[in-house]
Amino acid sequence: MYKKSVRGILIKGNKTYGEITEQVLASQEKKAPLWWYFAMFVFSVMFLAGIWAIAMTIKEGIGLWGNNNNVAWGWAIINFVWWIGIGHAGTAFSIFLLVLRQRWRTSINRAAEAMTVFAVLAAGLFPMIHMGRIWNAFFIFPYPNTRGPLWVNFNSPLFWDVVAISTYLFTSAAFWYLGMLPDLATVRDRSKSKIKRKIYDIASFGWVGSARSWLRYEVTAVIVGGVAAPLVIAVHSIVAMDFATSVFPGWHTTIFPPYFVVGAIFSGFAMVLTLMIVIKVAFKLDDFVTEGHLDAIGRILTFVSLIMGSSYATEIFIAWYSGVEGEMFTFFHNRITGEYAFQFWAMVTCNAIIPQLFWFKKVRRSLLMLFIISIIINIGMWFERFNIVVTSLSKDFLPATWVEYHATNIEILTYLGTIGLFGVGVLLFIRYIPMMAMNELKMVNKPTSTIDK
Amino acid sequence: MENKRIIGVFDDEKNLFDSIDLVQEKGYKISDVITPFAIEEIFDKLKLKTRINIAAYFYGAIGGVLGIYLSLYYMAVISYPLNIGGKPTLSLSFVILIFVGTILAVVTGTLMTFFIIDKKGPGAKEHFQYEGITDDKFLILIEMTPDLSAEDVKKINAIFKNNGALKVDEK
Repeated sequence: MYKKSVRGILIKGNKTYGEITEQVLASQEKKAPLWWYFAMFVFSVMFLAGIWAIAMTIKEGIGLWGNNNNVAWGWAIINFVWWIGIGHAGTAFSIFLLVLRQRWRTSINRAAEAMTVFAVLAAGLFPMIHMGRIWNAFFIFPYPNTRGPLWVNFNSPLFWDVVAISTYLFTSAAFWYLGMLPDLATVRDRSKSKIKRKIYDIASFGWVGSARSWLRYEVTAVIVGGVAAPLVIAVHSIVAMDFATSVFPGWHTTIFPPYFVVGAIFSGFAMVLTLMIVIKVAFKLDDFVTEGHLDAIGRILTFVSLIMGSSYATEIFIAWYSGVEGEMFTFFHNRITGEYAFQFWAMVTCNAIIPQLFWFKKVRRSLLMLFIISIIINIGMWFERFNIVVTSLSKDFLPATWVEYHATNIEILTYLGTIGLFGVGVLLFIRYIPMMAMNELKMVNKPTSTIDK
Repeated sequence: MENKRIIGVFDDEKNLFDSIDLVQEKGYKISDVITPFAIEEIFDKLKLKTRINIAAYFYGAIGGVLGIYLSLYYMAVISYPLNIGGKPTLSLSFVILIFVGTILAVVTGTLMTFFIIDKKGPGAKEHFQYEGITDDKFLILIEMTPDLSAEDVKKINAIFKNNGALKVDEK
């Protein structure tokens, strides 16, 4: 599957195949470490708090949020776009590198895809609760109904979003699971307890690994991956069109779809980096997640950060160049200066300036710096969405209706709840599912570990 | 009852390839090769082919492009033509839905095809069990059909043994 030439050693230590299985699964076969229970507790509490906030929202209504007449989309949409963005990288990472036949994806793709699934689940929550009457959520799907039948508006980007995101959730979950089958079979064959064996037996779909199965499996994986690659682009372009097809200053721009796609890849890659560093350090998988892997992600982030920076500059330039007063006002008096200046400059600093430190090899090779910057990027991307959503909405064409927007505690708790959901998901993943694609690691093991220097 | 099989157990691809070549040279039919990960050389050596890719194309072309287009046409033009500012009911923007729908059709169809033809699914039985096949062992399986004489079995055994097989087994 991987035909590209080698870029350094991907799996250190000249391992045998047995050792790869042993070391990847070691963390699962031992008892869970103490920090795992601690983290599980913290994330569960956050998750429960989120459930409480969501229950309150459903019981009392959207009035509990800070949303108002003007800022009808507040934290809910910000967080939705933020999570979708993070959810993009997993598949972007895994699939683009699969299509490009890059071998270094093998130790990272599983975790990246897992992250995608949980992030998209977290994202999907927000539009649902934002409807207010969540029990009517099924109205968004087109089906023959008793209202005419009145179908949904097929020209609306909001409906495209429904289709694209459900497709994306299904595709990325399916791709993730498909990739997992051979590894689940490995866990099945190694398990000693009867119950565990039974569970993994069902989960691994009776996988054996005969040549015919492998051929079909490879072809299926490449096809699903191949069609999912344009889907990644399409989903976030459509999310961008939710904004770009409106006439608000700051939203009504053609740059939005590519700008959002790049932003999504940016935040997602940063999250992959965070997660991989945690896995590397917590489970001592240094041989699989080498400096070279992290270095490669660092390089990509530098490049993407440059695109982000030029997108910000382009937006501002076009606002001035268009000569539209509304655009000028939004960008120069409500973003660069004005009450939201902090959020704007936080966005620029976190996304366009700080990641430039990755030009230095020292920074790319330092775990601590990589970790800190990856977190900073995720914070910056959150501010970017805040900028886009709130600044444009709060001061529109009618000055009499200008308002400020502040999130309420319920909104903050809902957001924390989704972080909890994500955290619980990832923790369960690293405990019960082989967190690296062992079969693919074995595939690239020989050609990438024996070539020295 | 199924025939018994001669099993050559290897722990290295090189030896596996050599044995496959030699066995095939002698004219014996390899019924299966089991490996812990995908090896493309084996597909070539066993001359395995799959038509899943062709199927996927048709899922996309028929299920996706045609299916989604027709259902959109029915819903938006025949069943309930919405007048939105006098714009045409059959809008060019449907391309986006057709695009996404095609991907969904390809993914669903391809996965279902894979699971059905490969007989995989929750609760499916493993058709073959052997120590270490999902870990680090490579197996060559040769079916002991009635026309395989004891001499042949011995020859196959010798090929496996001479090419670094860990052991030769019958099952």
